[in-house]
Amino acid sequence: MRNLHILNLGWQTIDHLLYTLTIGFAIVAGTGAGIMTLLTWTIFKETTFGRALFSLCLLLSVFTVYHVGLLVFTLRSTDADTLESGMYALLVVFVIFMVHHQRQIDSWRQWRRELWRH
Amino acid sequence: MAALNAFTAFDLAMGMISGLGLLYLLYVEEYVLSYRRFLLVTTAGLLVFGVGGPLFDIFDPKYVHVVHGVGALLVVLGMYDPIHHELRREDWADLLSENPAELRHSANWMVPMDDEILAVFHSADLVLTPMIVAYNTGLSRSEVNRRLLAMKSHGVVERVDRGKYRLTPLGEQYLQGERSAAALAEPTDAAI
Repeated sequence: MRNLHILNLGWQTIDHLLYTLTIGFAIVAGTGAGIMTLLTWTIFKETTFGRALFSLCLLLSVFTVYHVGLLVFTLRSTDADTLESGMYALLVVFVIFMVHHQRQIDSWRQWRRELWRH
Repeated sequence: MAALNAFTAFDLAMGMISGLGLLYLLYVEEYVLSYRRFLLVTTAGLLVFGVGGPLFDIFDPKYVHVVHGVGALLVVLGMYDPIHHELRREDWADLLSENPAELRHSANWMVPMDDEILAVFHSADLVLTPMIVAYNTGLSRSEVNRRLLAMKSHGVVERVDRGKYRLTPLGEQYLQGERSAAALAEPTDAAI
């Protein structure tokens, strides 16, 4: 019975270690993505899609801060869920804004084409 | 499988909407074709992050951070290509440092005024006399003359005529921060 208890404790420790490692991996990869995003701004700023990608990648870096928050401050489950959902909502706002902007550009192009035809 | 609560359902819906929006933008942007290869990898990373994250939150929350990490890693891989091809070495230097001199490796025989003198040669890209260099740097002519002789003996500048100097390829490489201090330490054969 005692051995079973130790085994259970061992698995819990391994699980916790793995969980911490996965958060660490997300932090490292997210930081890398954030740095790369800042370096590519000169390329991305040229197109709407590029600007959308840039914004989303930046938001991905904000998620890194969220992961750090999970690791360091051990956020309560409801707080973490609210924060995560807030960031996902921001993600959609960015994309909708960019799609709207792209559609405006497309309609302007269409209007110019028709102007040339007449 | 974890319970589908309001938060995970909301995250999944948001992730799917943003994923669809991203695919739409990728479809309509015709003039970014040349970058499409890396854009696809970056977009895949964002989709993994935006859609995969909430999906794993529902099915196996233990691995949600792994999914976030993989998404970010794909973004890094996708971004490597444009950075590798578009940003030149000087841009990197500008990004890393306000003052490119911080990236240079000065030899022991060099003094700070050497950088000022070489900068004049670099900006003019001409054959210059010590007097013109002194006029442009605010240093005395004798000082400039002395330093030019020292730099000439180490191959950083060369004398093309009596009292006329120009930057050598070694000097140019030093200014760009591409030469180590060891390469500048030995006097050149011409000076011996």
